[in-house]
Amino acid sequence: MLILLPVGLLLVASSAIYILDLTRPKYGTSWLIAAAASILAWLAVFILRLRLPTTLRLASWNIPELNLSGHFSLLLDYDSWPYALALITITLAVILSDAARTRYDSTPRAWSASLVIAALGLLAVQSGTTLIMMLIWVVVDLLELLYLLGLKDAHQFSLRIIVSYGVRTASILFLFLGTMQGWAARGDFDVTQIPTEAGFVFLLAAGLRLGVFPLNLPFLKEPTLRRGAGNIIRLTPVAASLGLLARLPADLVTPGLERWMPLFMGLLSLSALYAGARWLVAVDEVDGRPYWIVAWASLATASVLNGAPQASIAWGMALILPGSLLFLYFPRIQRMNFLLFFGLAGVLGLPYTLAASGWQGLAGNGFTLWTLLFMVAHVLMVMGYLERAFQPGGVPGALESWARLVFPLGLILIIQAIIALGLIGWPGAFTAGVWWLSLVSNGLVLLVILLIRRFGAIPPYFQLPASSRLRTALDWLFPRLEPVFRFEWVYRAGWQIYSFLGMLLKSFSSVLEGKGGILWTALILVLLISILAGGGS
Amino acid sequence: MTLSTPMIWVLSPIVIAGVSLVLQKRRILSLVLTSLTAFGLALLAAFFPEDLTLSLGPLTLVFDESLAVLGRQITLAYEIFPFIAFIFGMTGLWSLSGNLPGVPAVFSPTSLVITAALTAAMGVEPFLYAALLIQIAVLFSIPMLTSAGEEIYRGILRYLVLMTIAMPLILIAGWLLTGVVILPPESPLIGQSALVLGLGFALWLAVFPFHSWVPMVSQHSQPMVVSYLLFILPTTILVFGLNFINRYAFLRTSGEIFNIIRISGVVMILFGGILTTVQDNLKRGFGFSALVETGFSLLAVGSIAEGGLVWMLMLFPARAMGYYLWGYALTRLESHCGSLDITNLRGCARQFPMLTAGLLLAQLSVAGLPLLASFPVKIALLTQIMTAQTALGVWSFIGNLGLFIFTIRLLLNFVMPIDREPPRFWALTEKASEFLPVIIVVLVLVALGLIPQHIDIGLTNILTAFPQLQ
Amino acid sequence: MIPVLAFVLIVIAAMVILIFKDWRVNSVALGVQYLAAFALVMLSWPIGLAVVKLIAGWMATAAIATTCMRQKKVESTPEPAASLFFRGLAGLLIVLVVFIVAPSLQANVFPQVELMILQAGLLLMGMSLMQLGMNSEPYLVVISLLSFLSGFEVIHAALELSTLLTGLFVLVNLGLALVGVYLVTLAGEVDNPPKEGDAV
Repeated sequence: MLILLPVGLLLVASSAIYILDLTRPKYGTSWLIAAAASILAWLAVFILRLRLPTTLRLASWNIPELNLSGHFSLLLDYDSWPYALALITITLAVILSDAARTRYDSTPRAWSASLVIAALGLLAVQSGTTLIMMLIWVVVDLLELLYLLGLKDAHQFSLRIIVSYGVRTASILFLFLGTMQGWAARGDFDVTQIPTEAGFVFLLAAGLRLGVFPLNLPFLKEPTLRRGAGNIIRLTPVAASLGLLARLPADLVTPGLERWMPLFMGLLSLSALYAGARWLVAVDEVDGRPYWIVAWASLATASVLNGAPQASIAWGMALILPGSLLFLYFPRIQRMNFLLFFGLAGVLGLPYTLAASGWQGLAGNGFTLWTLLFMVAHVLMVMGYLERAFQPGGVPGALESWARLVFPLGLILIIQAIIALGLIGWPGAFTAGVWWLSLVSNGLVLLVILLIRRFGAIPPYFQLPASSRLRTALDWLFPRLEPVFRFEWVYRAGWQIYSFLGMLLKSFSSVLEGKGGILWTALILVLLISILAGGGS
Repeated sequence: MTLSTPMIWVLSPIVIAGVSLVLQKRRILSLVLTSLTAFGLALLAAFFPEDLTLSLGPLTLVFDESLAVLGRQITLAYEIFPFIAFIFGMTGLWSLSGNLPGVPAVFSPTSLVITAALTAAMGVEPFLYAALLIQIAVLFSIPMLTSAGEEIYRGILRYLVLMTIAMPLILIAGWLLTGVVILPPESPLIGQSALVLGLGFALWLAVFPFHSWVPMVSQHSQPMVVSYLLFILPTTILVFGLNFINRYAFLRTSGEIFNIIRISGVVMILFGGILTTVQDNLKRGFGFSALVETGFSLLAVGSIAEGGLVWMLMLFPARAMGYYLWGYALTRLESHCGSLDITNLRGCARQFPMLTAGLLLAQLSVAGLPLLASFPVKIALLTQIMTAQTALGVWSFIGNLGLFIFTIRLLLNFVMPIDREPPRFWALTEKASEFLPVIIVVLVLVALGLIPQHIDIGLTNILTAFPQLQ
Repeated sequence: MIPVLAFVLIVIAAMVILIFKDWRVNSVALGVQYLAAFALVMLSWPIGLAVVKLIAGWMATAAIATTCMRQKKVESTPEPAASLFFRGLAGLLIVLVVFIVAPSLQANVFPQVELMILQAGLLLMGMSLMQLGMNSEPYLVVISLLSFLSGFEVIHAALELSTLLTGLFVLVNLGLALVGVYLVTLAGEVDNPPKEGDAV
């Protein structure tokens, strides 16, 4: 039952804040409740590290009289604990850092929403079976849909919001299909025993939800999402999907799929490179957040395809923790800028750091072209992180005195989690990994920094000056690539085919429903009987 | 006079429906009378003692399970009571919506008569005569599908024709089957008998290519009425069909016949699903989705060896609630927005958030979205089909996607702002009396989707009435 | 002799119903058809039970005819002879098919049914189905269904004798006729909506 403690704390606090906000709104009290619950939940998750693995069986449909199968359970083990800690850490960080954003967008209702979504996220990463995973994904998607539709500028993005929801629903249906395949192959199973037969479908489910496999980016320009609650909303479904990736079987690529591997890896590397490039040139970190997610998720997905699903955890951590450090660091305070450099420990992938074990996923089968491309993507991501780390900040005078304490505390917590997970996150986390690959990648980063002067960029910034020819070329290219990667052309093409098919079927239907319909029905019946009788004989 | 169970569940609802029909101008009274009757009969069936003896204080009433009619019997045995309770309960639920805008005044009393006729069909001996009782139910449904002052559309006549043609086929098939029982299995007459029987059921269940009346009727008739009809008729016909499988061993043991039933189910799911996707009218979309549901029931029957009948029965409550919410939401939306063409409903989610949410959730529930009512059974059924025949399982899954795609299309239209108009803000314009039923039914759908094992209403127990099928 | 006469009457009545659309002509033909069907049913059943079918049939016919009489039909253009001829040919096709199929059907499936009864029943059913495929007016559809059912009852009477079944068939036929009345009345209301002051 201890496994439910963090979830319960967050839900209770969320309800309390919401009720308080309805009856007697008190900003300070609400914040205290949110902070206290988050801290207790965070501690509980840490304590649970000592009791891994922990399973909680919730309910079962395995009733012979009703001929149903499946069960619901929660599982906290070495594959899911890192994600649980990451989620609760960023939740706590959001609450603490919101102290600095009182003038902007931090409200008790936002905290209440953040806590609920974080609780659901915890349930999602701790899903012991795909059944419960599906249920939680459905709830998370519905909540996200309602939240996004309720935003002020939502009407501009209605199409994108619905397309995104449609893609999420498609991922749930892939999960549905994968569960069916798994049950057909092996009967009821939990997430530690995902059958190989269903592995690829589950990969599609996670990949689709992450936006990488196949690539789909409905939200290249997204509605105004807050840094606080917005960060939770964006990253919680991502964490849930990444948690699934870590569960997939190592032998997921069956002999039948082997010949498609170049295509899969090609698409993934393309996603990673494009996302990395867009991250680098994004106006700010929130604008670049979708690309941040896609790039790291591509590396995680590639790890799974390379038969090293555990390596995906490293890239997943790089996505969530250093990313949150950037996204939550607002308003920027010049004296605190150094904290961002600690976040580098989560992205550089140097030996014995958080992402060190991730290289195994990219080079486990040997150094290939794809490894090189993924390495280039990694370089771009690190460059983008550095670019943001070097940006100047303001003075702390605008912050209240208590906020000057808790705001950096929130960021420090993320750094602490990066370090802790790098040490004890999961078996194999504290490793040198494929050390030479990490050194080459980071060496490339250094080289690029040294060379960028030639293109006119003035350190410490990597933004090219407006007059730069490269900048002009990129400014011309990226807007033209954007619709391609948003996949609207795929949706449009699909819609054209679908409409054509629909037109044919409607015509057929109108014939049957028309005046001579009964005669047509009789004719079709005779034809069917003739075909079946002929086929039977 | 000896009291009997058919008197309670066949004759008395007909009498009360007659009274209600006379009072139809006083709609609330008529509605209350029919609803109370339906719910009362449902409760009575649910809690009736197994020995058919009711003790009311000093009074003890002993009921006979049979009623003699013109030399034959109508028998309502205890084993079938859960099903009777279910259909009367659902009739009561639909009756409660009898005074919604656009619902004909005759709907409530007529629905009671239809349920009574179908109940009689469950118990008539010989069971073949049920075909005529089902036909009587069909005839009674005509007035509630049409409205005064509106053109008689082709769909009504098509419905009447196809259902009427089915009746003699079932009667002849029953007669043929009695004769072929003694024949060797390779006799061609067995196949011909099965074919005639299959044709009869195909007509009744609107299996392709006999489906044309469904979208036509659903497009032109009142949604609440159509949802009731599309629920009660296939449900009762499917249970009635179990009699044939129970009675005739060669039907029961013929793998080929069940394979054909499975394939028919897949064809229905695929056909209905694809056509649902491309519909521009919500009512027609509902009609085609109902065909998909019939396909799932056939799929379940075809999996009889793997316990498919349990799935078939478990789908009924989920389907009933889904259809009810669907019909309710469409009725309300039609009264607010007029036409139910997709393009006409653009942006209306911001004005009617609860009704549109209810409609979408009803559709998703019927489609089998996790968390909602149909999911537990559909995933089990589809898994079984996939185990037995992977191709069939995959095609069924693909066909079932149709309703999901239709729902996403609808959602898009519901939230997209209308061109050249300023965007509307979210506002709850529905009254509490309009959206409270939506909330209640959605909660029931979620409960059915999460804890189906605790909400088992005993429908699966009716298989004891079919000894060979347990 | 009577069975042969009944058979001939059935063929003529069915052809008339198929070819002509005038409610007066069809009502008379339907009445004659029921009379002929009664004669054939009498070959299998006692007269007391067979006459129930005749009475139910005539009641149904009278109901339809009376309703059609009371409707103020909108004047329609007279049908071209070609369509009458076409329907006549279709009817002859049905007759031909029935004569070809009936003997083997009797030999293999319905050995206890007399050939003439089988042919008459199949003719009625076939002609009705053809009529249903070619028309969509409510009263023609209902007349076709009544013919279809009477054709089936002629055959079924030779297979089984049951009071309950007869009673149910009566209910179905009368119910069908009432539905026909209802639909014809509705159709009439749409074509000629009642004006203020008109007697209801």
